[in-house]
Amino acid sequence: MEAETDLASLVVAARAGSEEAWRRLVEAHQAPLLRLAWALTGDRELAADIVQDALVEAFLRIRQLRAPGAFSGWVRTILVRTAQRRRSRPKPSPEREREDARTPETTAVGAELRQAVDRALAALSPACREALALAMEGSLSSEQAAAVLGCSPGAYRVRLHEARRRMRERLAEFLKE
Amino acid sequence: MDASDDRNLDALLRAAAPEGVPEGLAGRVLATARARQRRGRLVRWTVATAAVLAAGVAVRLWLDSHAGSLRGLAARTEVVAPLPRHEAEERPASASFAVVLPSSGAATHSVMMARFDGRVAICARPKAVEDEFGPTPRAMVASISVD
Repeated sequence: MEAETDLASLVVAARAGSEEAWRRLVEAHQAPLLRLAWALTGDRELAADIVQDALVEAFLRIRQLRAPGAFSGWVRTILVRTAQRRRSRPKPSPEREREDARTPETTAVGAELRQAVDRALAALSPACREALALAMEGSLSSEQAAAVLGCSPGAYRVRLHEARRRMRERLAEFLKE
Repeated sequence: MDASDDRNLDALLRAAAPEGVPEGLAGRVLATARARQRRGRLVRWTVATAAVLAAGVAVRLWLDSHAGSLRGLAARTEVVAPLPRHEAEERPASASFAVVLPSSGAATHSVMMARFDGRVAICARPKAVEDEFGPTPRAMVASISVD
């Protein structure tokens, strides 16, 4: 309850033009937003770009947010829309993908798992990936997630079930361990 | 397949999720947003200025094309209280810019634009009248907010 009050007061201050309040809002939301963007795309580089674009859009439109306490859900909705728009843009060239594969992170422990999950996510249909991403997020009910995606709660549950089934198939070797 | 399968899968996905966040993200977001705001303001100001310029050109063209008929109309009707010439020539003290649009031919007025205190004004100033026995052309002024 107190956290919600703090969030609402930060949003009110950010709407009034406080850059410090905006910075604190970004810092409080950037990690979950990055995870959501990654789950929506299966691409870590693209996820960081999407988070930045979504936060810029949120900054420019924050006066349109009527209920300050709804900031978290509102900015997630903006992120999902941003990811959907990005999906229609051309994908990076194979050269860039090979460069990405050589980053230090991918050579660390767990790189195999991360790459397998990235590939499995990228192989899902966009609708299934969005449903799985919002379910992983865990902060939205089925009805809220369906509203964000613009579908019925029933359709959301079907997509989520299908996404989980396909992910289990692709990640079977890791799930056994 | 049950709820524990879903939990295992979710745990695996969370383990593979990105851990760190990009450094300086808040600063980059603020800088990008401010740049977009500036660009938006510049576009709006340019559009407003273009609209005022277009209106000024339209007024001048109208005055040019109706110069003859206005003189004829003025000759047949009484000119009611034309502005004294010295009032039309006064320029606002705080004008940030002023421009006189070129005119030629039989134009009875020269058109001047000036911006002051958040408004753009268009003034149509009578030219020197060749026929000193004819009616005196009237000065006109209009302004539009550009805030």
